[in-house]
Amino acid sequence: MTVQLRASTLGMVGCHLCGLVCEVPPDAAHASSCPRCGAALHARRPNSLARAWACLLAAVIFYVPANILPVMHTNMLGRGSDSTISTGIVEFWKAGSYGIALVIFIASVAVPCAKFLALGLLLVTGKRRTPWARRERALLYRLVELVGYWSMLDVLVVAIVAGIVKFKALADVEPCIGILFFGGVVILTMLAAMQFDPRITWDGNEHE
Amino acid sequence: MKAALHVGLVAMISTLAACSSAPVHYYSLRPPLDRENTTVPAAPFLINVLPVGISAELDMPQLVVRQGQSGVTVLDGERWASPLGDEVRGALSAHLTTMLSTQDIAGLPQQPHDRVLLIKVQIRRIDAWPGQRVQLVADWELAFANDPRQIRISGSGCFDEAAMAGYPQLTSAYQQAVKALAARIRVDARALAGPG
Amino acid sequence: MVTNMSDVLEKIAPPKASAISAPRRRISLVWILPVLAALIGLSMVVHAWLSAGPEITIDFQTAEGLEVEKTPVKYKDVTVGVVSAIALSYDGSHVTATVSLDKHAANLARADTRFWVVRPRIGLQGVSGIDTLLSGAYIGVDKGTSATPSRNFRGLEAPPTVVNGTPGKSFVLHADDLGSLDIGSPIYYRHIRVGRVASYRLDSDGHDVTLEIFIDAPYDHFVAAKTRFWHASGVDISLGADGLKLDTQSLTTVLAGGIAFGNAEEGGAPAPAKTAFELAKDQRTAMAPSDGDSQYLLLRFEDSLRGLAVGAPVEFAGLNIGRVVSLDLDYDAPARRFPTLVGVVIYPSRLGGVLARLPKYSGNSEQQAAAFLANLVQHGLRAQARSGNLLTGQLYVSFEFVSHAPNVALDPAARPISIPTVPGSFDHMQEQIATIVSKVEKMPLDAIGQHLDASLVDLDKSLKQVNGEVLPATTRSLQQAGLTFQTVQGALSDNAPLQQNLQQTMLQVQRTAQSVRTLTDMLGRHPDALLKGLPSDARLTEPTPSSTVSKEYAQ
Repeated sequence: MTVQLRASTLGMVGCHLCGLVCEVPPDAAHASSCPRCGAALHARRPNSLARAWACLLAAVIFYVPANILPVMHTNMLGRGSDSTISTGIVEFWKAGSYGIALVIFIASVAVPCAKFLALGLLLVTGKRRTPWARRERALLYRLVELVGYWSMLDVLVVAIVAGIVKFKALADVEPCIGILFFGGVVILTMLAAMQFDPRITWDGNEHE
Repeated sequence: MKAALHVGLVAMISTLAACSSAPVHYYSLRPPLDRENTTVPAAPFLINVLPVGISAELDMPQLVVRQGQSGVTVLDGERWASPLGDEVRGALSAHLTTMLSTQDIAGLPQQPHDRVLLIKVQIRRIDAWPGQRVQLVADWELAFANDPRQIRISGSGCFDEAAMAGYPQLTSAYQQAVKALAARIRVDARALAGPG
Repeated sequence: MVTNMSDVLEKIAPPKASAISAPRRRISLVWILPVLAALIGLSMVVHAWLSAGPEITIDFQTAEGLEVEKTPVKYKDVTVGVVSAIALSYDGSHVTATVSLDKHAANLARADTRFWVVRPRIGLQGVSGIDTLLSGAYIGVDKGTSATPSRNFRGLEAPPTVVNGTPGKSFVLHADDLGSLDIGSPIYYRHIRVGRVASYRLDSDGHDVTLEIFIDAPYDHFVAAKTRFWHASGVDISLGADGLKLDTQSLTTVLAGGIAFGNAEEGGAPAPAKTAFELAKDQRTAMAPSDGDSQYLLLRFEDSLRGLAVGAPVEFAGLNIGRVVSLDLDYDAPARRFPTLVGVVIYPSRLGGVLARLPKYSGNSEQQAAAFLANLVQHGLRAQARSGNLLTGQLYVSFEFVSHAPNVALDPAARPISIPTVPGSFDHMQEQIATIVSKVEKMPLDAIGQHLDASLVDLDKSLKQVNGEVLPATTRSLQQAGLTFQTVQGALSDNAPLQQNLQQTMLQVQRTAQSVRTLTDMLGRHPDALLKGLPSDARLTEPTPSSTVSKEYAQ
């Protein structure tokens, strides 16, 4: 019969900077620091859940103007038109470029929404410390971290198109404020994933 | 680790160096202006050199040269200062105004009492063999504007100039061929204008 | 197991917990982030809501050229709004376009603001709106001056002729009929085009046409209270008792109709806007000094008046003092005859300065005239129908003092005032001829021949006179037409700025197309040139020896 040895039961905390295992009373009133390197000792990343929630909420709030405001202003032969992410996807699909429409849809709509749901799930279950699907949750977290930054693809597309299509009066493309909000969404979700301490998944009682 | 860094730096610098264009040389068919006084009597008419027609494969700023029997090479590094049609037109205008001692009114509004000779040239071919020669074949037609008798002179000519090796010498041969074409047009213009 | 754990514990060095302590925060500072995000989002919403201007609806007949979220609304070439929705009306009779205006243009939506769609148009005024071929149609605005704002408008189908804010004045003209005028017809002053007809409508009683015209500044101050306007349309040809007259303003008026105006007397303060004027039918009618009071007279002629038409002049001592207004037959039962009743209207003010020297009588103007005429009739004034033009047989009425006329008393109290008449000179001439013929019968033949010869010479002279007047006038008109054609030719010649601009534009377009073609050719040869740049040219192969130099040949 194996017993899972936890550092918290032993009253130990590993320094996250130099790795030294230090003894810290479990309910210390104030934070202690490592005797070797002087870094602050935390059993878990401080305020991990709160920070991750804050970043996630900010990302969700920014997602609204990112979709409503135009991301690109196209001027062709004197006729200007704004396009948002969703109108861009629809136009590409109607024009027959199914591949591009699909790529933009996945990168700009599917991935961020999936990240919101995944991070939300991780944070809620982490707060409640349920033993439900721990391995899957850990896998989910790794997936979120891996795939996260690929949403920047849309920002890259807008930047390149705006940089190349500069034909004065024939055709001219300018980025608009919506893409800034979208970039903010991606960055904030990446920050939220960074703030979340994956060890929280494994906190709670031992039942598997 | 360090080695990888060095190699990466060298690779980046060489890539950047490769991403540059080769230098481009520009040529013109217009000869330098000859300011010495000529004793050519002034022609009793003005001329209007109409836009020169030129075939599609030559109508580009880049130099087009022949290679052997059927090969054609477009030299992106050697270019005319303006499209070849405009170069030929400008050179013809310069030569003819000097040879006939008159004025080219292309682009200027025509006065109702002027006698204006319209010169229309069609370049049929220009074959350039680098280091050998340049062959120019052209047709032209001359007529007076608003001429009630509607008399025209049309002519055709093939002009062959030897060229030394090197691109500047090749374009000099071009210039000589165009000058020979202008001389033939001048003869026809004097013939059309008649005595006096 | 516990012993294992204590073994493990003994090997671990106990930490030295230092006393560095940091106060724990209750609420982490990181919550500022979502608050900030919410604030940014809220500020954008508030900003968008604040900068949104009013929303107005415009009704058009058709939505041609309008696109949702694309078609702008421009005032003085500044975009002040955009079409946000287009919908068909309930009964499908028109299209309602909803436009959201910018905040700074909110005061454009007045009750009399006019909207129209700017599309390429060709009309009398010229070509307009060509740039919309490339950039798409837009909605033009003419700001109104009313103080009440409005939210619903009816769009015009064509751009208004007169846009508010153009310097100049509007005036009103009343005319009997429109003639060949139309919206945009030119208005001339001394043969210079100074304005145009803005709109016209039939009066409610259908008798008159009211035109609204617009005269551009600075010519509008030539319009004074005494200015006369007349039709200058087409070619004025009149054949009257005094011969043939030909008059025209310009070739444009022959095609499009026009109005001209002039001042009979110089000076006078400029008329205020919206002053009403009468539109006369030609220059002579317009510039004639006003006739003043008129006096109706009835004349009774015994003889037939073939050739006397309504409008024929009435002359007194060589002066045109009125005209014939009515011709009727009367029945004289006792004598079984049909005398002709001619009603004439005379204008005493046409007598001019001599009116002041005439004796004055008592009573109102009609009693004065009756008394005065009675006096004259006593001294022999009679009305007579005379031949005005031997060629056409036209007659006119003349008041003459006839000697040896039988006395006829004019009753000054009878209305209408009637002047006694004497038989026409033509009848007189008939009697004279009869007398002459009877006399000729008694004359020797050579005398008759001489008389005939003299008559032929007179006839010849009158024919020469006709030729001398008609032909030069026609020649002058043809010359003027020739000059006009020359002007048209001049506008189309190489000198014209239009031609030059067109040539320049075509040249630029051609050069642009050439550059694009060069670029695409080069990209076709070296597609990687954008990334890696142009490679240097390949080495040419050795030139093959060619045939001998060919001689030049000429046809």
